Parts: sequence; structure tokens; C-alpha cells
Amino acid sequence: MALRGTIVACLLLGCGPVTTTSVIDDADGALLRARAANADGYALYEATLADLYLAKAREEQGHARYADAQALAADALRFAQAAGRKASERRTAPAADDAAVSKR
Amino acid sequence: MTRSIVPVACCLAAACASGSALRQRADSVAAEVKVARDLNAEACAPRELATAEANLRFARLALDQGDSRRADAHLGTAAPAAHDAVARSRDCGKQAVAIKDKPEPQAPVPVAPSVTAKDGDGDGVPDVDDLCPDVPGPPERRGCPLFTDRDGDGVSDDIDRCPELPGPKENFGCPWPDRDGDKVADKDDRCPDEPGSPDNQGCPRRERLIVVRRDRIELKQQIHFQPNRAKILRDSYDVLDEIAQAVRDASVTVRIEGHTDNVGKRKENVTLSQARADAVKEYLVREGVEAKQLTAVGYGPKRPIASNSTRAGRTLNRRVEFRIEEATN
Repeated sequence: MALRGTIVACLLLGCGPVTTTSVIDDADGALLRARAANADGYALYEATLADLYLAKAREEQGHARYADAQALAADALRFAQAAGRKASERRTAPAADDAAVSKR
Repeated sequence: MTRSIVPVACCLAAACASGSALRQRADSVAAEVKVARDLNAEACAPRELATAEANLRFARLALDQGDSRRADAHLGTAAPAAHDAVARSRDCGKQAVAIKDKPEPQAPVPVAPSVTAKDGDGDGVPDVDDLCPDVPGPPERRGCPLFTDRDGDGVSDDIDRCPELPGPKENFGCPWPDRDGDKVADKDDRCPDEPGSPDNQGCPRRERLIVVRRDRIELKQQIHFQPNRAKILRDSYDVLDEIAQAVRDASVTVRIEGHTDNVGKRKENVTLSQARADAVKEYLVREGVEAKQLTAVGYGPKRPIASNSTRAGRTLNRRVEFRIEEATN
């Protein structure tokens, strides 16, 4: 029983780095996509937050504080997604307006 | 017992006091961030606001982790950023007030729909609302570009530490430093204080002190040691550095041979030549040559290349030679 408990505990502990890395990778990818959509021009606030949170998440991961790293990475992901969304909306907004004008 | 408790208690009290002071600082930064937010810093100073908010959170996290030093560092970043955010937003606010104060036309002027919707720069902000009708810019900046880029280096002036000198983004828009002015940035320059050509990694071309032959490395300058000792003299470092680079680059195995003249006892000469060969090996290993690429052998006076009966001959016999044995790969 004790052995089983130990194995479960080890597995749970072992998941920390894996899950954190996965969330960090997701945030990294989302930030790259946002940057590709010119988030630095259209959603600088969100893009900067995502960048800083991602860097901090990596730092915390480096110190093996996986829970904090994961929370920060999740926030970074959220900000990066928001940056991407905002940038895309703002890039397409003038085109949409033009379309509306031409329909009139 | 009491003696050991007192210092511990003092340390704990100091830590608590420091933590409490940092929390107060964090609260004051948070208040400034709130002011910035109220002044619409998200649109006027997005980078500063984000930096302040993020570092404030990181500082609080560090405080929760009991890491006062890190919390202090984050607050050190958050406070000026919050301050900048407030300052920039105030300026931005003034601009907004100026727009609001624009006198409204006394009588409505009838205009055709196509004219009211006119948007010369195509940025989605109609010209009537566009503060910069000829330059595209997002609506939250009233149609003006986010930031200018005077030096055209692709780094906008708000984050460009050298807004009038083109420089890469990685160096915050500043040109990479180049102390010797040889057009090879210091970061890539192996000789940052001596001008040199780019194809020689910024180093001046020097006459080489060695020649690499098929079976040996010839030295144009002998390696010098302290008399009767195995300590290499400083004037031989350059030649040894060249040898190290050649051995590293060629990936060969080299036998370092120490030789002496025949003055003194034979056994002592053998010992001295071995020690000198070992010293050379040690130097080369320190310079990045793999130890397995080198062997050191002391021959003493056994292999003279000149007569030991003259001073000039004995000088020639006191030497270190480098024999190339084989390629390591």
C-alpha cells in the first residue's frame, strides 16, 4: 500500500514539469501567432503582458516552482490569445468598414 | 539557549519588517497603476502599464514565496513603469481634451454620405475624426500611428533607446557597440580594442608564429622557461595560443617533446625536460585542447640537434618540439 502511494506521489510530482512545459509551449505558440498578426502594433498591452508572464513562467519553471510557473504560463496564454484576437480584429476592421461603405 | 534564540528572533523580526515594507511599497505601486488605468493608460502607455502590472504581480508572488530580494527587484521595475504610464497618459489625456474642445460648427453643413465617410489614409478612422488623416493609425490613437520611428530601424521611438541611430531590436534600437571602430561589433569582435578585418573576427592579421607541417608544428620562436624550472615565460604565450588553436582546428594528436642541452646531470635534465613538456601540455589543455590529443615526453639531452660544445648549439638544443602523430578523427 505504501509502495503504491509512493508511486502515485512520484507520478503526480513528475507531472508538474510536463504539464508546465506544455502550457508554456502553448503560450509561446500563441504569442508567436499574435506577433505574426502584428500584436505589437495593435495590441501592445496584451502582447507585453503575455511576453512578461511567459518569461516569468520560464523563470519559475527554472526554479522548479511548477505550480506558480503553470499559473503564470496560463495567464501568458490568455494574454497572448487576447492579443492575437485584438490584433486580427483591428487589422480586419478597416477592410470591413470599406466593404460596408462600398455596399452602401 | 537564550543566546541562540536572540539572533534568530532578530533575523525573523528583520525579515518580517522587510516583507511588510515591501508590501507597503507594492500597495503604493498598485495605487499608481490604478491611477494610470483611470487615465486610459491601456491605450496611451500600453507597454508601461503592462510592465508595471506584470511586475507588481511578480513582486507579490515573490513576497508570497518569501523572496524579498526578488520582490524588491520586481518593484524596482514596476514603480518607474507605473510612473511613466501615468505621465504618458496625462499627456495623452491632454491631447484628447484638445480634441473635445474643437469648436463645433455653428450650423450643420450638409455633406454627402460619401464625403462624411471619407478616409484618406484608409485606416478605418474617418478623416473628420482622424488626427493624422494622411498617415494610417489605429482608432485608439485617433488615427495616428502608434509611434514614430525616426531612424527607420524598425524599432519604434517609444522603445528605441537611440531613436536617431539605427540599431537592431535586440539592442533596443541602438547600434551594437564597436570600441575599436573596425565595423565588427564588440559582441562579435575577438579583439574589441584592436581594429581588424571582419573576415578575421575583428582581429588584426599578425605574422604567424608557427607553421603546421604534415608531421610537426614548426615554431618561429622557441618556448621560453625560467632557468632550471618548468615555468613558461609570458613571452611564449602567443606562440602557445597559436599552437592551441592549430591543434584544436586540425583535430590531430600531438606529441610534445622536451629537450635539454647536456649541461648538468643527465637524470635531472630528463626530469626537467619532462616537467617542461608537461607544463606546455597543461597550458594547451587550459586553452581548450583536449588532453587526449596531447602526450608529453621529456628526452633530456638524448636528442641534440646541434653541438653541445658551443653556447649557440646548447641554446638550440634546449627546446620544445611538437610532433603530429595522427588525426584524431
